[in-house]
Amino acid sequence: MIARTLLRRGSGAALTWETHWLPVGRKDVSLRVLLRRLLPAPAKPQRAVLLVPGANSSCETFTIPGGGLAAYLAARGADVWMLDWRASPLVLNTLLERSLPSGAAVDEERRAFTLDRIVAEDLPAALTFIRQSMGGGRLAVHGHCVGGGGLATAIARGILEPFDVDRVVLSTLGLFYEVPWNTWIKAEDFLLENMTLAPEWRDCRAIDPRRPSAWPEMFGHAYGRWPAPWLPERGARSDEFLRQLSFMVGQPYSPDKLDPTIRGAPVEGVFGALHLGLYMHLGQMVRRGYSAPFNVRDQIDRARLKRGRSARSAPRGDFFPARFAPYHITLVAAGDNGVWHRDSIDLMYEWLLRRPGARCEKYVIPECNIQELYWAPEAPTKTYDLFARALAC
Amino acid sequence: MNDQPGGTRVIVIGSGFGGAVAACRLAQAGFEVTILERGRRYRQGDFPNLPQDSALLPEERRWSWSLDQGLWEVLDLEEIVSIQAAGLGGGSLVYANVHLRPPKSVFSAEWPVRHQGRAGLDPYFDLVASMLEVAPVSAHPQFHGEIVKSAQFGAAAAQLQRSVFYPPLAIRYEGEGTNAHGVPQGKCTGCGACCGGCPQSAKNTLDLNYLAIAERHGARVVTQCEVLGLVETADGDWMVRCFDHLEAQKRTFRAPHVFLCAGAVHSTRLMSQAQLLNGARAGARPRPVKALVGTGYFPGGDSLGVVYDTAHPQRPSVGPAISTATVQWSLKDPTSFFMLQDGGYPAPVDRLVGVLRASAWLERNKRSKSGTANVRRTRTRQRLLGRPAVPFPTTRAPSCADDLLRAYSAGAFGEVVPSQLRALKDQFSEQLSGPLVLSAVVAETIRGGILFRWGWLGGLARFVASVGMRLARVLLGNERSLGVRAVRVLLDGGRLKVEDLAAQVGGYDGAKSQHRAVLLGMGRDAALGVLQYDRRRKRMVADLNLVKLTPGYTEQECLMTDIARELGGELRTNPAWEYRRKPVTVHNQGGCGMSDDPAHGVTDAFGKVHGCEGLYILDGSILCRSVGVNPSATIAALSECGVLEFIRAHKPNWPDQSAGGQEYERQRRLAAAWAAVASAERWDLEPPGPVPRPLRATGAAAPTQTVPIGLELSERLRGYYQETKSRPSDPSAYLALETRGRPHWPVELNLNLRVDNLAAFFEDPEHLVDVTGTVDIRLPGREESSRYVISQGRIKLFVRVHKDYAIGDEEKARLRAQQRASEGQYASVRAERGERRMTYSMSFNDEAGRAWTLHGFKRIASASSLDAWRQTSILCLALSGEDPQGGASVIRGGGAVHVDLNGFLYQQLPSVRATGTDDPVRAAWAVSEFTAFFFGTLQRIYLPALRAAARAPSARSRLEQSEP
Repeated sequence: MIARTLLRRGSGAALTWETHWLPVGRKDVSLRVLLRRLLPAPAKPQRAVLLVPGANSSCETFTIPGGGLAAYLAARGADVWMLDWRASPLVLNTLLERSLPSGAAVDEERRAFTLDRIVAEDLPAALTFIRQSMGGGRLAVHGHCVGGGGLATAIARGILEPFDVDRVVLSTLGLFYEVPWNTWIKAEDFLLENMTLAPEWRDCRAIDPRRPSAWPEMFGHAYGRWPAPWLPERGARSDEFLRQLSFMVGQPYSPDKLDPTIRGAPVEGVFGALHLGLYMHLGQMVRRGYSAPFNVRDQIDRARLKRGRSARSAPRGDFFPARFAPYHITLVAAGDNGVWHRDSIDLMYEWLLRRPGARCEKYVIPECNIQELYWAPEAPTKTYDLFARALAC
Repeated sequence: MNDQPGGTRVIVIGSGFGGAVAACRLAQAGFEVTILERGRRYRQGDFPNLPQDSALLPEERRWSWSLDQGLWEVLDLEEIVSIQAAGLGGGSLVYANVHLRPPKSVFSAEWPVRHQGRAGLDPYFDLVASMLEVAPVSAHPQFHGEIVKSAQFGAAAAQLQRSVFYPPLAIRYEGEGTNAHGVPQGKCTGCGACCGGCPQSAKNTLDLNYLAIAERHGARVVTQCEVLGLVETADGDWMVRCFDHLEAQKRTFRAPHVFLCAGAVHSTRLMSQAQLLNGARAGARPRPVKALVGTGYFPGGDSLGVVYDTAHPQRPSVGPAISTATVQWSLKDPTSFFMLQDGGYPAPVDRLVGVLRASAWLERNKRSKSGTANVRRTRTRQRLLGRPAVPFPTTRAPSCADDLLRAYSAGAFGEVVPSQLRALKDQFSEQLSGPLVLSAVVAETIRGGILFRWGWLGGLARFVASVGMRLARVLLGNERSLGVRAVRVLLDGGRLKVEDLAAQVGGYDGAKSQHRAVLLGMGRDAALGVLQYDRRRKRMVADLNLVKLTPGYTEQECLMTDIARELGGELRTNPAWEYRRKPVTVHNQGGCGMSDDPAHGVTDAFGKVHGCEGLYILDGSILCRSVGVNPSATIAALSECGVLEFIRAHKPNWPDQSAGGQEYERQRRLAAAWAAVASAERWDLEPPGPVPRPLRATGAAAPTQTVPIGLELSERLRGYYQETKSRPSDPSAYLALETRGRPHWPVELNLNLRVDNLAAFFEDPEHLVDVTGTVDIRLPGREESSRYVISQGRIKLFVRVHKDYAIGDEEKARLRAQQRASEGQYASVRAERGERRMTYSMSFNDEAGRAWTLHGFKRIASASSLDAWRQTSILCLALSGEDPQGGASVIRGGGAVHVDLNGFLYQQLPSVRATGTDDPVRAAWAVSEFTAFFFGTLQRIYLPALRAAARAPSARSRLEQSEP
């Protein structure tokens, strides 16, 4: 299906997109994900780039302010594609408006929203479509936040191999899931798992940062008790949204450091509900500290780890260094990341360097939170250029 | 890649000054090198953020090795705290860039012949210096001119008739771009952040030279891979067992050759736990070399002081961490010296540096500005010296004990609780209904307390505790909700302004932050200790001879005080040393010392472990004697020397025509050129010797103006004795003789007890006290009493320190090795229990010049606490003098003398006063420390049950079982 749409840019200019709703998933939960191509597309694209957003954010991450990274890459001659996968609010909101199909188990829907299924189904669908559209040109992928984590997982599992991708940018996340300690203790408390044990919340499907009144009681209580110093300061209405979002995933941006044209509602519109399947999977990986399939039994025994003994009984599922060999990988960390600890990138870098002949670079952007990599006033000079070079645009 | 693929496999454990050098040379020579490094790889911008207001959360895990393999590792070695780095580049990532070589006199006969006199090592020192492009700040006058702290340090030294020198530093002063080894580097901006990781990559750390070359020649670097053990296999290989922190699993590496370069502490640990076969690689008998591992350890005499409120700005955050130094040579030992160096720190840690003067330390670690009573009159001090709060006899001169008692009784020390913390506590109390919390706390205290051992009283206490806990639960909720509320109050209260918090808790005064000078001391250790793995504690422990080391620390402190006085500020020293007498070191050395004789050392002159084919140690652990200077240059030079020997054993023609060989040859030529420049420029490559230079005291043995803090008190004992020809058998026999001697054979001792160095006294296992004074006695054969002046006297007070981790008598080989390493100064004091004594020895001469000696002892035994006063106040005496029948000294009498209660309370206690300081605060603390030592020891002897009960789990568990 091909359609055309216009999206308003923060500055008032417009980006034109070619949109494609691609069917993905299995029989249990059938879905459609949104793939967009920035128009006008180059007549003979030499370089196509697929942008993949974070967990509960849409691809508008890459289009604001003033066209954002997408417009910047297009101006450098790239054929820019963006994937709003099933976790994106643009896709998930529609699903959540419908109740579960009669007889469908909520557990099945949660499994469908784990990162395992997302990378196994959404990414190949998008890349297959892009390859068919562009033919034999060079293809690069750029994942931000959980998008980066998803791409790294896809590489580790060999999912990207058929698509002849040559360059990969992992922004703030790879196979290592390190978080600041305030998020870590929340994961260690098994807050989500305990919440779903309560009969009235057993069927909870997603948690929306803009609707705290609909939060499960236990989740709301935890938010009420959360130490004030760990949340952004209270102030305007938009700051209240930021506090709720920060409690869910960590603080993703500092309002006073954003481009002035997008403060407030435009930024809020990027984020949406986080499906509990993905949320719980991320929680598991945060507890482990590394990427692994949902519900696998290789939980790290931290007591054994402290004693310097082997912490696992089974091999780590997603760690296959050889599968990273064909790619030129660029890792980017935000120095003041409030969602993921910069160790997520640093450890990934050291791990990749162990490969003989590794083609890997790492950049740390100082005084910058995770979304400010794209939304800061100085982003075009500070990060867009770096991304463009890393993607060979 | 390797010049010779498939070359001999070598594993290098660690990437510090030993490992990086070894790996580089081995890779150049075509060996197949694997470097195992437990820490991370740090590049420009990777070092953990310094605490700034803008930081959302502190990067604690990147700072701390124990939290998450961060940059710094802090190890509690029981008698010393060791701070070291973990990361690719080892200590070079955080050291202060100083590359001094030890004076030639340091390389004495204890070193292998090859290194004695240092001449054989000098080319390697040059090679290291050239590789690291070292130069003193004085070689860059414009850069140097901006370093205020250097100029101020020099001016203060000049006032003291001392001069300073500028040690060579491994810093890129000028020119950005690639260095001589093709690695991009920035230039020094003088931000002072050297010890937290250089943000500009201007430090010539090892990853920018040696390790970069090694990787270029194909060395494989495995970071975050912590070595757990070494196993010698029967087929001639070494198996290195590791824990891979990135993969979270164990890994094993094998190679015929292993270079252990993990630093003094960890190399010693790995060696002591290594599984070694005997020479035939069969059987499992441990090698004799293991008995030597851990002996001969020394901490490098490190000390730290901060001078606050200097008269002129010091700008401690401008310039490299160290740029200038002065040296003090010993008056007694011509090979012994220590150095003071000007320290620096980056601006963001400004608030933390105030911590040494925080109120919490009760000003104990303060030396006043002038060394006199000219101290700031804080409220605490006004209370301390103000109106007397308790009536006290006024017929005698006030003493420091008065000050102390007044301070305690007036609650003066309550003033030092920071107001912000008091406010927090008030808020906490208010929210938790104060008194009820108190009752809960009391109940909890009783619950875990000592009363449970005491029969019916224990039952009563249990009842009270139970009621208290129930009451608290009813009114406040259970412990869980109590805890939640407490945490909330603390966290909400945590929104204090950083400046306020730093000021209140950390002693920070922002207006004067530029008026601070950091002083770093290091020197030759006077004694060698033992470093060993303690199986009970499951960690390494250091058994140090602090008796011998303490005077060195005190000397450094005295020179620091001199400099502080000249700078017009007040000195604060390391609280860990002041409070717990636990030094902090960043320069661990020894433990696997080198020697030509396998019976005396773990390795040979080139780091090869005696009797272990294929195992080499090249790091600070192989230093067999204290070098006195920052040891990095020495370690790197020894490594250059050792690895060259290894390579030539395998490749006699090295350096050959391979790319690596030519590169090495070129680097040696550059080293010769560097040495020529250093000589022409007259750089101080080593501390100036004790030869007078333009200023009198450049390295000259000039005594410091400040003397150590001591203590003196007087004691009067009176009693009787009776002539006897044999030494009485036990205290009761002495008392019987005293009874028989009344009233005709009186003895009265008026003693002045003096301790010149209180810190050394505490560390001394015998606690020696000098005694002067008089003896009034009717000597045998005389009709009347006469007064004699004591010509020589001393008291051994109490007991030796009990160390359950000292080398036991049963470990004969190990004990012999340590005795040899410490030149006979090591004494095993393990497992000492039971009776303790205070012994007195006083010699005097009568009118005819005949020598007499009074030997006395007080028997201190824990049999019954009711005997405490009696045992500590009775001195059993034996009088010895010339035998009337011949010349030899024999027992002439025996008896006892007593301290009476009145004299003790109104004469002896008030006579206690501190010496070496006129600062009443310091003096009060000296007295406090002594009384805490004296009465604390008595308490430990007489009330052991108290301590045992306090930590008895059984009482607590009994109560918990009884709780519903």
